Amino acid sequence: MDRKRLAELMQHLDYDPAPLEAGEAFSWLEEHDGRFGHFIGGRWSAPGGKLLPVIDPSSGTAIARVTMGNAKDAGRAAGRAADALRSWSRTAGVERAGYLRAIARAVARHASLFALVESLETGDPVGKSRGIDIPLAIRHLEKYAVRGAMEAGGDPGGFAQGVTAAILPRHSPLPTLASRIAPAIAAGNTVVIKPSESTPLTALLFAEILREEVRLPPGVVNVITGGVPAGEALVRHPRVRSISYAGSAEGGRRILGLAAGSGKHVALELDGNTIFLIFGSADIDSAVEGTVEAAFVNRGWIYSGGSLLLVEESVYHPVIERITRRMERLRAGSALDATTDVGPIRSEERLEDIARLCRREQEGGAEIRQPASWRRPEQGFHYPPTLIANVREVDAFAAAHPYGPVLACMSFRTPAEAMQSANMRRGIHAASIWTQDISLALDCAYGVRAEKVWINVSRAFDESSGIGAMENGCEVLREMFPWKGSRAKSWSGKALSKREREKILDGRATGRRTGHAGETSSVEIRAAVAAARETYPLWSGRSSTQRARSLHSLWEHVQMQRERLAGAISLDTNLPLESSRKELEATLLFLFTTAAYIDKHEGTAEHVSGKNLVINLREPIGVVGIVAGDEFPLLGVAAPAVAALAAGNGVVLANGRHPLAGLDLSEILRDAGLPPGCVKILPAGDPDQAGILLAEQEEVDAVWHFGSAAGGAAVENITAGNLKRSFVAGGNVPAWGDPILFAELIDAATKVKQIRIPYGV
Amino acid sequence: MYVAAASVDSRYAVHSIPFDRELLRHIHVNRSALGLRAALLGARRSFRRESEAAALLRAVQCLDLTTLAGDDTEKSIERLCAQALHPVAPETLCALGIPGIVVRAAAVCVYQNLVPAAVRAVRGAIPVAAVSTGFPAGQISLDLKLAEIERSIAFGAREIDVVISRALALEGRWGDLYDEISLFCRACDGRATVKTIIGAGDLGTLENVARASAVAIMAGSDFIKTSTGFEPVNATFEAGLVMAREIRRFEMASHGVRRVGLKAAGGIRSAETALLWLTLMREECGEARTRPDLFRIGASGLLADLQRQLRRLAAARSSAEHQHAMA
Repeated sequence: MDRKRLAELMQHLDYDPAPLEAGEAFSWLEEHDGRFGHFIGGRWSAPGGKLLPVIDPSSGTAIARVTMGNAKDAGRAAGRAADALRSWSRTAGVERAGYLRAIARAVARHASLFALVESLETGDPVGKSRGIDIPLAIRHLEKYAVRGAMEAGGDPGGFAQGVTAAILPRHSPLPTLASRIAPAIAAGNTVVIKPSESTPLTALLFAEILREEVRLPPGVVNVITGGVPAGEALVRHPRVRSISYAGSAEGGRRILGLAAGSGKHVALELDGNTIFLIFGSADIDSAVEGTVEAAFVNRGWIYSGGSLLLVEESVYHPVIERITRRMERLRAGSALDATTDVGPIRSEERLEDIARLCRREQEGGAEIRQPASWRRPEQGFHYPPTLIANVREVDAFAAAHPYGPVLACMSFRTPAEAMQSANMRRGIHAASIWTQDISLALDCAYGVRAEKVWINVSRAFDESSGIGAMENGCEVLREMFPWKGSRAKSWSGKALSKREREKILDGRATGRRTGHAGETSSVEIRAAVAAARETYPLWSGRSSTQRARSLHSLWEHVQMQRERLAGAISLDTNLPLESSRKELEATLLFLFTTAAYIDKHEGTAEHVSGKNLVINLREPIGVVGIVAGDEFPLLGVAAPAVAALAAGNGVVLANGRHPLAGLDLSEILRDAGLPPGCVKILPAGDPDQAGILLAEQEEVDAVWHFGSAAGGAAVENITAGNLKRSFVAGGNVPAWGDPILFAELIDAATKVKQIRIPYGV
Repeated sequence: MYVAAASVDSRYAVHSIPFDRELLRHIHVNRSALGLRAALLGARRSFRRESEAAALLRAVQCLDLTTLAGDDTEKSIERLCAQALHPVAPETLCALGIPGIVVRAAAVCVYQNLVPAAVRAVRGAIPVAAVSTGFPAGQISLDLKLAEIERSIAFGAREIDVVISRALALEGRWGDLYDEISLFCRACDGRATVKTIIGAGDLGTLENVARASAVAIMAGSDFIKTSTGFEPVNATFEAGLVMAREIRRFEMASHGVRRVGLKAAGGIRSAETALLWLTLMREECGEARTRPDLFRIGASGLLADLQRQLRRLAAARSSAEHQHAMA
């Protein structure tokens, strides 16, 4: 003990840095000589070719080198994963769950090593990796062990869809890895992981533990390192059947583009921004604390883009002052110091990006505030915590995804204005709303376009809260379910006789008497989309019980018109009435089931980790554009349209080659009391063309395509560019009665907004 | 009534402001957020080695060494005062390498009737604090409360710990509470420091804790104090955070003029908890708020643990030096 230092501290009380003993991490790196190959089929390949340095942002030095993977490596890994698939997918679900448990335990055993390695490569303070990331990763593994055992247990291989490629982001590598591989292997898939080139070490450590301690069958989990080429080769590889990607929108587009038309399942989690809303009715000090904690300390955890703070004008100045004051107490330093609040930025280049962004804002008239007490630590890439008050170019700021300790701030006058400011921006991941007024809070939670809403809290880190988009407990496992597209054919029989045909025509007093009722022009599609956009809120605003009632009434109307509809099918397809009646019965059953199912579909409430109420609010996607297939002229129209409607969406549907039954259904929909305009069934001369038109329409939020493989691929190519959700059968004829397909349809029609409300202590 | 005339240049005149209901209106406290903050207080802050020794010594210096028991005697008070004057053994200070430094508790805190004994025992080296105004429940009439203050001061107490009428807070009679505390403060003005005990554990909600703190500050208290130690719930970090933030609010609004101290009391028995209180003050209000003129810890059992931890550090230091010498 240094007496001089002690005397000094007695005069002015301060903390000591608490550097962690990182020997464990370095000796692990040394065991590998600081060089890593790929982990394929349960074996390490020799490091070779061009080696990529892994930089520790806290010191700016390279701590290890990894192999730059190429297409050949990706192919080898996908091949070994495909080999392993055969026995892994046939392993009982319970056994797979047991492996997941064992992995979770092994990660827990090495928690401190994982935390050190993660902090070393990401530059995130060890407090975050130790306190949040590692426990979360463990939790993901445990949770899917349980779910996997429950859901897949009775049906070995039933849910496996093949080899999954997990392409991981730079931030929070371990929890992201766990959240990707756990559902995949629980469902019987095998995985190839491609970690970010700048943070590959946690994945490699994970692989080593699988091999040494868990003894997971070789090939079930593989890791290849490298940059974009390795990732793209994986995406293109024919044995890879599903891809899960987290990262930039740009990367997401590229992957969707590569996978378009291949029938591969792609799950994306794209970088987004976090918005903080502070109202005058908030506990201001707690709001400031929460904002500072999230924006400066846990950056990269809750968001991977920028943070935007919107403050009610009446409290704008106090909030700004208090944040400024609070920033003075943030400690900058090495990621491996337990007292560090703000760790380093990932690279020197990034540092310059952030500085440029701030300069531009300053020149534009914004006020830049940085703590006066801040001293740049001697080593590493550090940027001071920065508040940009009265930010000018909010959108440019958000788009730049600064990924640094930067918080942009502006004021609002009314809750409506706050919602408008928030919803103007695309790609909002999370909104943190601060007010003591619960009805205001919930109103905003409902209104804001974000996937996660946190009320009076800004760090919500348990497995139920996930990391980002498209991920929310049950959905992830379901995404790993197969696409049960089958080669089902219509019921068939001998052709309709002339007499029968005339009899049907006689019965059709109203409506179109015969087949092709005209082409659909782009003008018509646009008009239909505009009408749906405008009117669907009337429909989605109804409770799910009310929607169920309308669908039930639709069922009744279809029943009343059964002869007419069966006749329409036969007229169009020239199939006997008997076969058409079978299709009609199947349609009625689908309608009835959907109405019953949707009756309680608003969402669920969970009670998680301590006193947190989590509401999973199911919301419609918006306007769903559907291209029906040629098979099943009635069921193939009614099933997707009704599924989309059931979830509260507006629907614009283009018929396949046999539009008559669909057009009849359209009239029946109107009679059943659905708001006019919110569903429009169009005859489509060229279904593939209709698909392209729908995918290109800005006001269409999702496109489902059940037509030809080529048409589906065209849709996927377009949605890869504009990042719309797509659901494409790839030329398969959907087995409409299949319960898993039903669940998938409802999922595709729904997005889940998660609202977290802590209460008490 | 024993009301001391407030002189124009008195501390009270600088300190107090007229009752302003507006300042209570916008008080909002989110209990969950505070709970999270409290739970994370020590998460990224650590006192270790030198800073741990410094923090333990600081805790000793902020200590209002207290005894409030039915079996207190003059002799036991004398022993308590001896402890307060020499809370850290000279050998320990020596082993820590700071033999010349004088470390004393901030004050001793006793019942009113024992003030004379305590004053004799401390011989002017540190102030004697007296709990007055019908401690701990405060359920006696106002004139008796004021008389008790007067008597405590007459006995030589230089600090008076007063309790508020929790009923006034629970009934929302903030103006009346202001008047009551004002009378206490005037009674002490210029002669003794006033520490107003708001009895956080009796107030039911953190909003009430914040409002009572604001009223006590407006009325001119020198310190606001969490608890008597006799409430069902002791001094919690949540309550401490709320009170520290009220203090900070008034300090910021007055541009640093209105500097009110915080005293944490009730159930603080371990050195670890004491250091967390220091962390709380340092993080929320700054280093100046960890000094005895603006921060106190009221406790009776805590000193033993502080001593124990200091001895541990001292032993580690001397054994390290010993090994060094051998090498």
